[in-house]
Amino acid sequence: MSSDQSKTQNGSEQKKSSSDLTPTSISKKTESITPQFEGSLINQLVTRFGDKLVQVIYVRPGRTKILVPPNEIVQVASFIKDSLGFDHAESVSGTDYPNDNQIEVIYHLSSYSDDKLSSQILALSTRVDRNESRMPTLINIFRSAEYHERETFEMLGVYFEGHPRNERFLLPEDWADIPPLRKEFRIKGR
Amino acid sequence: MENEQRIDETISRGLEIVKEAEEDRLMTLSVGPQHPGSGHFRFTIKVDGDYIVYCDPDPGYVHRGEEKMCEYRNFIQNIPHLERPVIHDSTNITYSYSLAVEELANIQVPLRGQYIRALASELNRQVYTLYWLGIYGIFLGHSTMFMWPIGDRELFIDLLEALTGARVTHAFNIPGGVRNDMPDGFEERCLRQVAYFEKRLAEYEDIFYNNPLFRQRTEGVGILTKDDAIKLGVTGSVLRASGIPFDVRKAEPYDVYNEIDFKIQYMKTGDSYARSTVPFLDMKESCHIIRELLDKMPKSGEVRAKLQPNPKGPAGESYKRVESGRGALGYYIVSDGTPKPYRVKLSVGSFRNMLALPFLLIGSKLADMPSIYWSLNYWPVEADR
Amino acid sequence: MATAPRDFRFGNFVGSLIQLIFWILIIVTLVGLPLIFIILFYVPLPPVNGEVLTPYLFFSMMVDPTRTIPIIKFLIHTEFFRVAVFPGFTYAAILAAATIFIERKFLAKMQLRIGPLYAGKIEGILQLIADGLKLISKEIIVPSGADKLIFWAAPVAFVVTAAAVIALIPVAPGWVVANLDVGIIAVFAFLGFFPLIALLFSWASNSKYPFIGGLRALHQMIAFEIPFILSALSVVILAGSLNLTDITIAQHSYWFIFFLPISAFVFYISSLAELERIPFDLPEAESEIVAGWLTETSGMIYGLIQLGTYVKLYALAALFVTLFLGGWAGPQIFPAEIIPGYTGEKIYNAITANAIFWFTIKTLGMIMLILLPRGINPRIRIDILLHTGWYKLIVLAFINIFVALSLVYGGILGPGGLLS
Repeated sequence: MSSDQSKTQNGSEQKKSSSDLTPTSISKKTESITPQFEGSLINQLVTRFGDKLVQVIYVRPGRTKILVPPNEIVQVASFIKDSLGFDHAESVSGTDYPNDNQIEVIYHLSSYSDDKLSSQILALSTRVDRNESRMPTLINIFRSAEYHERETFEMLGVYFEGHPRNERFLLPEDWADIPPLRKEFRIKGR
Repeated sequence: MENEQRIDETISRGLEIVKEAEEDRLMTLSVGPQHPGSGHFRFTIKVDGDYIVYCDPDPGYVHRGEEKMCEYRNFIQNIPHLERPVIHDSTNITYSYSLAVEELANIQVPLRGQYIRALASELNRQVYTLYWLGIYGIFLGHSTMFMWPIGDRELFIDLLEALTGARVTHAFNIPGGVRNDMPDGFEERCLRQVAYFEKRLAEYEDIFYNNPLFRQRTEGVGILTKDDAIKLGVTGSVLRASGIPFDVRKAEPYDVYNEIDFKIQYMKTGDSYARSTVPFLDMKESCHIIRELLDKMPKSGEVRAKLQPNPKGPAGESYKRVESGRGALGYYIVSDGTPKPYRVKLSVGSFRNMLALPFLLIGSKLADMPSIYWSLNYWPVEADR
Repeated sequence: MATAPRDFRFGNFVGSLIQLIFWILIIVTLVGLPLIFIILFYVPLPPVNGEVLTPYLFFSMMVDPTRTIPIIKFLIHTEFFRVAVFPGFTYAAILAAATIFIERKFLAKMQLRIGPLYAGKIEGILQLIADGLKLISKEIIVPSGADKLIFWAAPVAFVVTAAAVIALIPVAPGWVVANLDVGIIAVFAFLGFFPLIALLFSWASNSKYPFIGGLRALHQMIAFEIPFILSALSVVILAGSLNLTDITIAQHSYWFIFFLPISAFVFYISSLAELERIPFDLPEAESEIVAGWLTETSGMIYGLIQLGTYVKLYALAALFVTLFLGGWAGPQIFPAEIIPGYTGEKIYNAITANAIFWFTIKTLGMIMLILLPRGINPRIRIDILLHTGWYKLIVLAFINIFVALSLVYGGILGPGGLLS
């Protein structure tokens, strides 16, 4: 248990920045006692990949979050699917952090086939540069992310390499503006 | 050498002609937004005779930018526009939003408020499923299967109107509880109407589900195996019809659902008939849940936690999900310490189930298109947000 | 109208009828009659019987039965009356209109609702007229690239063919528009024209959904023609004649349905398929192909096709009654004379009145039976439809043919048999 705690604190100490939304501020919300089952899941990941690759953001009852660099995400995701037993992506979303000049793409993964994991959601997140936002796609591992990734492309401008259709999905055909979920896109009149 | 070249050219030209002829044989149909069989949704299909060979969904006709709008309003102001994606299931879509905000801002909901919230959620589930069943009847050409559920749905809408003040789009759930308490006499009325409805459900089973024509049209059609269902990540009744007993109310019980005893209804065949029966079984189970909730509810108490005018919490993020009529509805909310959320993402059941649509339609007959499409429990407005 | 309908009270209803009669009497006596007098005053009339034909004399002549009844009798027995009024087009149109109204109310009651309510004083009885006026006032949109001649001609051909089928059906002894010796074959010849009309119209519409609908209509109607003809064949074997009047007369002691129940069933299912009624309404499947081959119809073209459909419904129901339910046979309930002891000319014929009454009752009952599946069943799929039409119904029809043949050759039924 204590090693888990030290790992979280290490992870939080490594990245300090001034914005309110860094992973550090989020991890301050954790309980003082890390839950055991979730901790064991994160343990497996960190043992396999090392804590330089897999940064643990928080470990809460039922919810865990890790941060991975974009070019390593495919192997981490394969490990999560094959060894840990998470078999589908519930949602894929992107959040724009203009202060950090990054966009965070976060995959919420869960499991239908494993009983103990069915109440767990593992949030696999990665941060891509805002101006050069490309990352490899995970649809070969988690097929259910296909439409969500396409929507993230059109709403935030993140290009998924390997995804067959990086195209407009929900927006109108004549959309000629910047991707709307970026923070510099203002709704007219507000 | 020249001979061979000419033969090659002739053969390749012949193949081209055959390919052109095949392309010519395909007819492109746009089951578009102006079609009585699609709702506010468009998908393009290519048909070879009677078989569908290509399907491409094209949502976005009702896209309003819900997620962007959430960033401009504070946590309470987001409720009225967040319930518009599914107007008749509005308590469920604001339920998980309230749960996520309560976790972010650390708000504790009083017990009676939790029970009333769960009761409104179950009543809304009935309303939505009856509407879905009615439209399924229209798609199959059965007008009585439209009229009876819509007529019975009025019972629950009247109940919800007495409880919340509006027939649909109730704006009843807010972070912290519910807006107001139950009126007098609500319990007896609710129990009476649930008893009447259970008799009607028995009639539905006789007339609709045991109808040989209905069975012929839906059995064995659009089979989604268990592995495919897991791989595609479908949710809700589509998942339960393929043999996976997963219900968010049982997997991670929220509010008072860990005190309610009910069974997950699921079927193993995975065809359209199973997908149309699972919501019906869910409705039956919901009647028991409503009775149990009314039974166990504390007789008096607060229904809402007192909040400050602009509630906010420390910076953080939260992911909460509830079981709505279409499946697991999840909210991912990121807050930066201000009263307005930094990012709100809805993960709706319809958007996830849409992935199964091209997968199931390709290879099936054109006449099976309505029974597959609507059995996926797809609500176009919700998928577009 | 946003108000809830008041409950039906019989007293109020009688009161409103009396009010109506009162107003009609007042307007006729105080306004109508004087107008007619003024007109007759200015129109020079010939002298009759040495008297000047005053308006009073004109009216009393019109009311005198000994003068008017021969005129009416002469008019009734003309060809024109038979074709246009009874048993021809007007009778069929009135029954078709009644069918539409009954269908809407009947289905509404099955579906726990009310149906048309506001048009007309009693429960929406004038709704049909309101719908007809609405359809007439709409613009007829012809799609670009459509074949204009066929687009305009096909709906008219539809109504004309349906009316042609009515022309062959006997309603009372001696009352048939066209008494052909090959009556049944003529009926099926006309019915075979409908798939052609549907296909031509759907092709002329120059659009994808009508094209699919037209093909489905073609498949469906052709698949069910053979069981149709075979089930009628067993009736012909028992009756010994193709003439529809003779078939009806041959049933005067027993109805054919008692010996040919399977044929009646096959005929019923086939007529549901011919009429494109639910569960066989694939050519018009609303949720898959918008409105099938009727997609591009608008305004009066749609009105004509609906009229043709309901006239066809009456025709097939009447055909069923003629072939299986004994036509006009029924116990004599009309008295032989209305005014006992009257020896002059009379139009009232007890046998004819009885025949008309029983025929109408049976046809209406059959129409209700055809309307019924709409409230109960969803739509069938095309491969199940074709499988049913080509395999199962033909086999069933053949069974009954063999039963009929054995009965005739066994000398039990048929001309010269035991029970003839």
